[in-house]
Amino acid sequence: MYIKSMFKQINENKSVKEYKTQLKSICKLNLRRNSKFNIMAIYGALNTLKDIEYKDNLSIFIASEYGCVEDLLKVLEQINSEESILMPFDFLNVNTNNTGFILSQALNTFGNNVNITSEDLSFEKAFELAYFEFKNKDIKDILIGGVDESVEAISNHNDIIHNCENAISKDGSSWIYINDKKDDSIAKIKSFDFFTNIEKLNNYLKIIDYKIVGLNQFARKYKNDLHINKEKIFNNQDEFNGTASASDIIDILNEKKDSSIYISLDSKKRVYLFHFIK
Amino acid sequence: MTKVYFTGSSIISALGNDKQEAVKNIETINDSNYSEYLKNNYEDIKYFRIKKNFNSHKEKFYSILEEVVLKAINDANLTKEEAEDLHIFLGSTSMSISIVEEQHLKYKKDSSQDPIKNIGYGEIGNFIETLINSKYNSTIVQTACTSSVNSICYANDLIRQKKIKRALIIGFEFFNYTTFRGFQSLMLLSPSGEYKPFDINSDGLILGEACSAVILESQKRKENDFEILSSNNSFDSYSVTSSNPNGEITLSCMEQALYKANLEISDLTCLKAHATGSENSNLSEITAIDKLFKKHKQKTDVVILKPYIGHTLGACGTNEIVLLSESIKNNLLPKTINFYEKYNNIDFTPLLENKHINKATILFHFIGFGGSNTSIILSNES
Repeated sequence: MYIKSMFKQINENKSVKEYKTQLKSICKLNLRRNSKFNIMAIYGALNTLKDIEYKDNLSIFIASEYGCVEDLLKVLEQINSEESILMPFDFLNVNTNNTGFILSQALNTFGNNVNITSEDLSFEKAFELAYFEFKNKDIKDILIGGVDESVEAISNHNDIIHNCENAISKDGSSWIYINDKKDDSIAKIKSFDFFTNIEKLNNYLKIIDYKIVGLNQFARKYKNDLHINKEKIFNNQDEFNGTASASDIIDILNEKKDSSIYISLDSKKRVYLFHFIK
Repeated sequence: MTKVYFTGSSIISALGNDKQEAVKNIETINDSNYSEYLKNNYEDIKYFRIKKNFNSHKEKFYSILEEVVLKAINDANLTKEEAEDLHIFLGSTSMSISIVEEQHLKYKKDSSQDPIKNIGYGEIGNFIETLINSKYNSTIVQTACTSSVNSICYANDLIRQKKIKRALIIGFEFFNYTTFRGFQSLMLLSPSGEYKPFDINSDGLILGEACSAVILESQKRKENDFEILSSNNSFDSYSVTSSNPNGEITLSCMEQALYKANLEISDLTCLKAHATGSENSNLSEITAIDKLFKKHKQKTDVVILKPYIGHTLGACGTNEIVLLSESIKNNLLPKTINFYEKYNNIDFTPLLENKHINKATILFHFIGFGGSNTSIILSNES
């Protein structure tokens, strides 16, 4: 299982108009009424695959912590206002599951697509399903993305999300393309494991070697509980976005180390461990 | 290869507050009393409602989820340790939007300072994890109307490959204005309020709310537990809101499920169609089923369930699987209600009279916005 291409875009809260302008040069689809979420997803996916000869049965996994934030707020105003009516496209945009369809059109693929959420571990959960399908089914061309809009527009956002370091919430669209061919690969996914607690992770960490370790926000919070070499901790480049682990992993792989790991925890200290080698 | 069985289930829907009441009502409702049944369902709008009263959408949402989950665990007779070992999968189209709408309305009316109190859907999974003290983080699947059946498919694959031991799959859809007005804006709702999918005079669909849960395990607990024989997913790139009228993707999805189960159409007791009632979706699926029967020169009974509980969107997978498998266990293969006239040039009509059987092999088919097609074959025959 090899990572062949990756792309990330992290910005402070930008308007859908700016993202549409950016996308216009690389996508000919009519996306006039599409959500900011969809536009960000398409831009990230197209850039990931721009130099790749992917198969048309490509499987697409889209992870998101918050889904379509901007369009949800718009729809809520429409629903709870007597003067306003809900428009079809606005309704479809809040159903995050239309993203896979739009992505398939933009990429001209007919493989299955799915949107996955799992509190604080959405990218990891999507990756878990993709990893399982790759290992156990005849699915060898996979695109996995973590897409989240900034939640800065919601005044009380830090009361309703887990933002352990009180960082600025950003827009993020980070994508990884995986297939079964070693040639020109960025990294090999050596293993991907789940542990129900930190103790089990620590036992496993005794037997693996790594040059660099990345941590998600809860892993950073509980880093003193982790039996890792603190000198090897990678300093995350971007501040907070919902599916930040996707962008963190891209940054770590860009360091081009022989062996790297990424540890993701949730608030209940359940753990996912990614292990990459060259 | 490990086998996978449905060892427990529960449902709350317009048909009643438990599966026994639902099956009893399915047996009782017929064409002559159907309009009375609809009248009892429809209040201010044409919608199939759960008949339970709550003080708020939030209370309704979490109370029903809790009841359905605990009843399914009880139905499977799981120990506390087995329940804690459940991997949780959730499938829904609207997720918790009813609660989000309610909070936003409070804000608009100045009774709250916060426009939103929850964003994203992780907290629904968190609620279930805490309820059953699960060791694992939930998987929340969004593939529109195939969300809960696709959750079953993922759990089935993981159990089959021995990656997990057992799973709890929950399908839920609760009334909310975003979905109701959204479907209104797409002009998909039946103006007449006479729900008759696959009838040539069908004028649209009627939405409903329901919540159901199933337990999947690798060992049978009761003799008549249904086993998953196969499943298949296909993607239709025709349109985000409708299926290709040629029905080819739906046809190939059903054929692949049959192939994987090593079954012929003649081995099936019935085919449970998605049958939403919207014009394009009807035509596409009817065409696909007609092609399937003609191509293989075999037929089976076609069963339609949505006129009993409405279209419950992302939850329809678990809802319709629970309703049909429980009906069979209670010696009933249910008739299609409110069907009068078939499409031109189509050779089949849905099953119009109840059959009394307690063993069956069923091909369930589901279709979702965004082109998702899922077929799954279940059997409790030896």
